Amino acid sequence: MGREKIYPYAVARIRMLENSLLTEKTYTQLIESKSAAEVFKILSEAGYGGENSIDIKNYEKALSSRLAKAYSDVKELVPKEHFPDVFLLKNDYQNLKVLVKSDISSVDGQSYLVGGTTIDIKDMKEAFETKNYGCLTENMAQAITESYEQYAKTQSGQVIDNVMDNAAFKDMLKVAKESGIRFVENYIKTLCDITNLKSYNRIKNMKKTSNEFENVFVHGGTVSLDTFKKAFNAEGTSGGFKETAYNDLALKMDEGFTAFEKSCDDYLMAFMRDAKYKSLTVEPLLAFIYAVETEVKTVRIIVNGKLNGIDTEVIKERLRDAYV
Amino acid sequence: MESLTLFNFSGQFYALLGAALAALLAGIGSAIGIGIAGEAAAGVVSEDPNKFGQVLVLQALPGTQGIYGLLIAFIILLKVGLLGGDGMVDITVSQGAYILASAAPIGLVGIFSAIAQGKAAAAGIMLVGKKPSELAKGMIFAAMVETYAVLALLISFLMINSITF
Repeated sequence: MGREKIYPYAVARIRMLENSLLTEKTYTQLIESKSAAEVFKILSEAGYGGENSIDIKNYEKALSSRLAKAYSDVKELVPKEHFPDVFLLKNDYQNLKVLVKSDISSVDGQSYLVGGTTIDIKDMKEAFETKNYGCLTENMAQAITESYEQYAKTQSGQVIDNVMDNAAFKDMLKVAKESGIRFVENYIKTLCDITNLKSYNRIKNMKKTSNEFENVFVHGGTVSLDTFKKAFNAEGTSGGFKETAYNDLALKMDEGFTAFEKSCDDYLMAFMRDAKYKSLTVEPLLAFIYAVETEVKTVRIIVNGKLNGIDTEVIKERLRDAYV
Repeated sequence: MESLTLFNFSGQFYALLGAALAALLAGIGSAIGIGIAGEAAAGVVSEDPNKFGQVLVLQALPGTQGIYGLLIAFIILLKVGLLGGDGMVDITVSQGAYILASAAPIGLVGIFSAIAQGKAAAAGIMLVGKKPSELAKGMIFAAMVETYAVLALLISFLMINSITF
């Protein structure tokens, strides 16, 4: 008998909620629809926006409330566990970035703050303004101090991003390790590697040096900085990852930027899809959050595509694999 | 020598221990199995109350091991005369030990198979939650586990039947 903790109620409930995820069929309908209005109608029928009909003004709100509901559903199902936080922490750090940057540049960043966080935005703002970081995690407090220091030295906004991203992964890994669930830990490590691969691809294509890459490298993944540095010095973009688990994915770098970004998301989705075959343990809960995140991303791609009159084929190329 | 007398139980004690373990272990297994399946069933019903009837069938499946255990316990009690009204028959220690041994299959297989079946039933319940038309398949998957509980019941039954006083 396995010693893993089992959650029959939570998983069964998630399986039911999975019925509300959009299917390939709906995606096809969405893509083939003639106008944005038609897209909004299909989304309404699929349950987006609740009672209200959605239109160009409030669709963002409908998307974020869909995401917020997924977070809160999962949190509610496992109130004593902290592992859903691995998904929320990135939003906390996004807000921290906004706060630090708007403080430095004296531009109001209010509209860039996002929901779905572990720490209430109000509390975070207050902590930030009063410099009393009691309600933040240790890594957050450190990251704030460090980003000011680094910014004073370099005057570059990018270092703030890097400091925050590194701290975010530290916090995520901490939560993952504390949860003792290998799936969560592996997810964060994979996510970390993929983040690095994406930055690598971008920087290499911009013909910048490996020093630039070092500035954005995040720690915590399985692929070391050395491997990336070696890949930088090698010929071509995608060749340096034969020794890692990401060789097939890296080869996609040759197919262009959009194709690679899509492949990265699909790679993570393939990782999450393993959860489909787990019936009692915690994996489906995490996969559900990821599935909703991907769904919202895909819907956003379609809506923006339709609003800007982009060709159906072009939108199709960018669609992410769905969970169901 | 005194400590040895502690283990100097009568044959009747061993026979009763067999009956108790058959009912006890298989019962515990069934309770856990039904509990797991029940949690999953509640999860499905919380989203769609109409599925109550379907998931209830699946939830009940891990309950059979407890019944098998009870059956063997009854047969043992009959055998030793506790249910006949004539009082307990005299049995030797080795006869009692035979009975204890014959209760082992249903007790041990019962507890583990019921828990395993509970998990399979929970998965079947989730299957019904997603695809209500596949109830029969979900039941078959869970019922497969039943085979081994039935085999254990058979062996326990044959063993007890062949013990003569």
